[in-house]
Formats: sequence, C-alpha cells, structure tokens
Amino acid sequence: MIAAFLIFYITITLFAMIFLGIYGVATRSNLIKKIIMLNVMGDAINMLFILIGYRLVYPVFPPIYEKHITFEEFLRRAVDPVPQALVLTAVVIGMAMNILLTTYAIQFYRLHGTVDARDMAEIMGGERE
Amino acid sequence: MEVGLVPVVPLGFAFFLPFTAFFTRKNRKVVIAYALTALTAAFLSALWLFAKAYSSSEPLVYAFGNWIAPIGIVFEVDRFSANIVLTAAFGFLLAGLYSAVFIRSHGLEFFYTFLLGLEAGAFGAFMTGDAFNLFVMLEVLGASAYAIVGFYRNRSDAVEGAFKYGISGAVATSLYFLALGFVYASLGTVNMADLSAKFHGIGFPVTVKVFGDPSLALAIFFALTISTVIVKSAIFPGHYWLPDAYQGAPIPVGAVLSGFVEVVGIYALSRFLYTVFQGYLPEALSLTFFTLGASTAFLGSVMMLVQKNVKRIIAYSTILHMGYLFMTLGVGSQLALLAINFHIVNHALAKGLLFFTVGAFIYRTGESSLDGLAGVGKGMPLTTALFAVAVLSLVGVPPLNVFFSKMLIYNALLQVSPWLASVVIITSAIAAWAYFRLFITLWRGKPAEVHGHHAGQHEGSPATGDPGLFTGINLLLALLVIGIGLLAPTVIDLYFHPAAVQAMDYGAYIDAVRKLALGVFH
Repeated sequence: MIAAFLIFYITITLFAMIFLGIYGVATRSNLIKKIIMLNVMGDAINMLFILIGYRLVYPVFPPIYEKHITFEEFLRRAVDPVPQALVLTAVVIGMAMNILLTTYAIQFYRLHGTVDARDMAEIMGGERE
Repeated sequence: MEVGLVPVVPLGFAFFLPFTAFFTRKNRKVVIAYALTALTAAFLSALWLFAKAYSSSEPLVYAFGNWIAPIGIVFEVDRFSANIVLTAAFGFLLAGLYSAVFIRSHGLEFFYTFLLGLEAGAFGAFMTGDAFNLFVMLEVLGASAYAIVGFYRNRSDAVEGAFKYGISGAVATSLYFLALGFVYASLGTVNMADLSAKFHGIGFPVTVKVFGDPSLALAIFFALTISTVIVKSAIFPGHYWLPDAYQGAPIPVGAVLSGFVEVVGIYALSRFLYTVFQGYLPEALSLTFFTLGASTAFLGSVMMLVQKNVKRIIAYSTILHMGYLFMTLGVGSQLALLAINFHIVNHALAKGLLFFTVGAFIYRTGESSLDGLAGVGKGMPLTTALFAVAVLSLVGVPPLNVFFSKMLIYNALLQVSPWLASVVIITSAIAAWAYFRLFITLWRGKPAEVHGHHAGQHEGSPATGDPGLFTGINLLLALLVIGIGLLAPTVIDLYFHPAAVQAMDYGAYIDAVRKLALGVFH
C-alpha cells in the first residue's frame, strides 16, 4: 500500500516537474534560466526512466541471471538495466547540449551585454527592419 | 563493407578533422581536401548502400557488435531509407564543395567538422532500426545543426538563431525521449521490428510480454512524437525558430538543413506510421496532420509575401513544403508514402538549387536583404536563369520535378477530400507570387545606393568575379531537376514505387530482423 502510494507520488511529482520545465523554458526571459529549466525537465524525464526499471520489492536481486532462481522470480525482483543504459546516454547528450547552449548565451552577452530574451528581441527587431 | 559502416564514415572523418587541421597549422587547402575526401567517401558508400538495398529483396540488417535485435542495436535499411540517404549524401557533397569557396572566414575546419557530423546524424536517423537510436541520432544531428547555424559567431543574428534553434530542439528531443519511456514501459522494447511484431501480434524471440493495454501508451507516444516533429520539422506552432536560424546560417548550410535535416522528423513519423505501427492512424490523428499541415502551408506561403530578406523567403518556403509533407502523412495509403518519399527527394534537389543560386548573388553583393540584392541578376544571367528553374520547379510547373511530387501529394489528399487537396494549389499560387516578386527584384530592381547600412545583415565583403564552381554545381542540380522531371514516370516506377511497396510491408521488415535473432539460437 505504502509502496504503491510512493510510486504514485513520485510519478506525479516528476510529471509536474516536466510541465514546470516546459513552462519555464517558454516564459522565463533570462537565457540562463531557460537553460536551467531545460535541465529541470530533462532530469525529471531521466528520473521517470529510472522509475520504469525500478522494482519496489524486497529483497532486490542484481540484474545478473543465476540458475537457482526461477525466471519469473528474477524478472519480478531484478532491476531492469535497459532504462539505466538509456538514461546514461541521455545524460551525456544533455551535458553536450548544455555546453553548446551556454556558449551561445555567453557569446550573446559578449556581443550585446545582456542575456535577456526581451532585449534580444529588441536588438534583433532593430536589425531586421 | 557492412551496412552499419555508412554513417561511421562521415563521423570518423569528422572526429579527426580538428586534429588534422591543428597539425597542419590550419592549412586551408589541407582542410578542404580532407573534407572533400570524406564527403566523397560518404557519397560512394551511400551509392553502394543504394545499389545493395535495391538489389536485395528484403531490408538490409546490421547488428552492432553482433548483438541480436531486441537486446542490441540494429540498423535496418530498406529502399525508402536508401534513396533518401543517397540524396542526402549527394546534397552534402555539393554543399561541401560549395562551402570551399563560399566560406571565407576563419574556422573552416570546424565548419567542415559540423557538416560531417550533420551528415552522420542524418544517415543514422534515416538508417536506424531502433527507436532509441533514432533519439541519439536526432541529438547528433541536432548538436551539429545548432553548432553550424551559429558558425558566424560574431554576428548577433547567427547567435540568436542558433540559441532559439538549440533550446527549442533540445526541449523537443527530450519529449521524444519521454515518449520512448511510455513505449518501453508498455511494450517492453525500443527495437522497431520488435515493436512492430508486438503491435501486429507476431512472435519474436528473446523479448518480454506486452504489459497492459498498449493502445493508451501508443496514443501518448504519437502525441509526444508529433510534438517533437512539430518543432524539429517546423510545423505551424513550432516553426518560429526556423526563419531566424536560416537567416543566421551560411547559405550551404541552409541547403542541407532545408533538404535533409527538417525532413528527418517527417521521415521518422512516416516510418512509425507506415511501417512499424502500420494500420494504427486513428481519425483524430489524421485530423491533426491535416489541420496542422494545412495551417503550416498557408502560414508559410503568406509569410513569404512580406519578407524583406531573401534567406527568410526561402525559410518560409521550406515551412510551406514541410506543411505539404505533414499533411500527406495523415492519409495513410501507399500512394501517400510514395508521394512523401518522392517529394522529400525532389524538394531537397530543387531547394538546394534555389539556395545555391541565391548564394551566388549573396557572394557577389555581400548582402542578403532584398534592397541589397536588387538588380544583381542583370549581371549574372546564367545564374538568374538557373534561379528561375529552381523557382519554377518549387512552384510546381511541369515538366520540372516538384510538379510530379506535388501532383502525387494532390492525388493522395484527393483520396480524403477535394477541399484538402485544394490547399496545395492555393498555397502554390500564393508562393508563386512571392517568388515572382523576388525574381522581379533580382532582375529589374534598382541597385540600392547606400551599402553597409544594415550592419547585421552583412554576409561578408562583396567578392568580385563569378566563381565557376557555383555555376557548375548549379548546372548539375538544374540538370537533375529537369531530368527527374522529364523522366518522372520512369523514375517513379523504377525507384520510388518499389520503395513505397517495401516500406509498407511490415511483415518483411520484422522478418529481416527476426531471422537474424533466430539464427543465433540454431
């Protein structure tokens, strides 16, 4: 009962974080805050993946198959390693994306002395006329 | 040679390019020679792949590290992917050649590194047989694209365009990752053949049972994947980044972005809808495709009329064509897939020609605003004629190539409703007016007296002379545009019809992977 509630609670929190992240990217005008909100969203998705592979039972087996355990018992008790592998890949990609976006934010700051999207729109609007 | 090596060729060359440049003291000639060798090698391997895919009766499968399907990652190439890969390799080769003259600033080695990375990502996305690998390839493609769009890093429009593209693209691909979570939780796999087998109730070795009712998971998967594609392929509510990104990007990059990078989203959706989950497509999903696609087409064509920068006109033209492709996705018939495949190839060639001719004008004047380009066509009659070929083709004038794919799209949409099909004609007419206006400005416009007024729009100093390389590339592309147009019925029968038939055959798609997996156990 408590276990089911815990899973439910974590899932709801993670979905709230994902929506919060998208909201933040869309509405914050500071470029750095946009990048932070992107990370909030990405990490919530990563956590959700870990949760998919997680087994809330006791005792938990390591995901190495041994002969003396039945296969069904193994599937029920061993943590699924595939989501962890996927998350590992996504984390690395997320880091590369962070560096790239931060570089652009810094570069814009060097050019115009601001990291505010509203100033950006103003500057660019002037140049597009 | 193995199938899986094809995307590794540009990726491997890309990895060693900065080192090569460093050890040869950034010698421009060495960098160009190295990059062109890499692009040629990639083109030759794509040609090999094309020949192999068309001579084989079933899809080609390559298992990385010999790990069989549901456990390891596989590449699965059928004719649909092979012909797009070949077109992409050809487009990237021409763009690389063009950049050798066009890019005159420092950092050419990084430009080519990103271009090769972009090519590797595009190849991987078109060839992969694994839904998670598609996510990785989207990110490879995305990272290279965000980097290369901001190549002119001291120009604020480039930095702004790259940041917008980067943050929108990163959010979009994260949503695709979330979509994979739902599919994995319900169907227990991310391999495309295995997903298809589970969806169609076909047995597959070494895999888990379906958990619960997969229809809800599939609905969420498609909802999230469509929101990814909306941003990645610039469909109506998610198109906002594209004009800014194209305005900042160098011209040869625009050609490949427009022809192959935007198309990846459309390709992924057509792979999911027409091969993997063939027969899914509920009414509501079709309606989404029609509504969003038609709004995109109208938005693209109308916005083309009011732009003051030639790069933005082409950007909105790309949005227009992505709208056509997105609309056609909702039809769900074999004709629709044929139309999508043929239009992807034709649009890439014609849009490449348009970008490269406009690039020659920009190279000459150093400006991309319409005022700065007024009257430049008079001095370059051949390039202007080729520009006219590109424009007529994109509008859909017979016997040029885009006419035939637009006709196929029209026929596919006619299966649903004549009103929907009329969108293609109306938006083409609006776009034709915008192109006509652009042509008149280039040919008869009075040259602006004050140059250098718009500091942000400068593409570099004006160059003298008309590089023969640009004309050569443009002539080659124009020849293809006219040739494919004249031979369209033959080309469709020989290459595109077999591709559509094979892509719709999900049984063969599953069997190709399953045989490999079963072979391990015997």
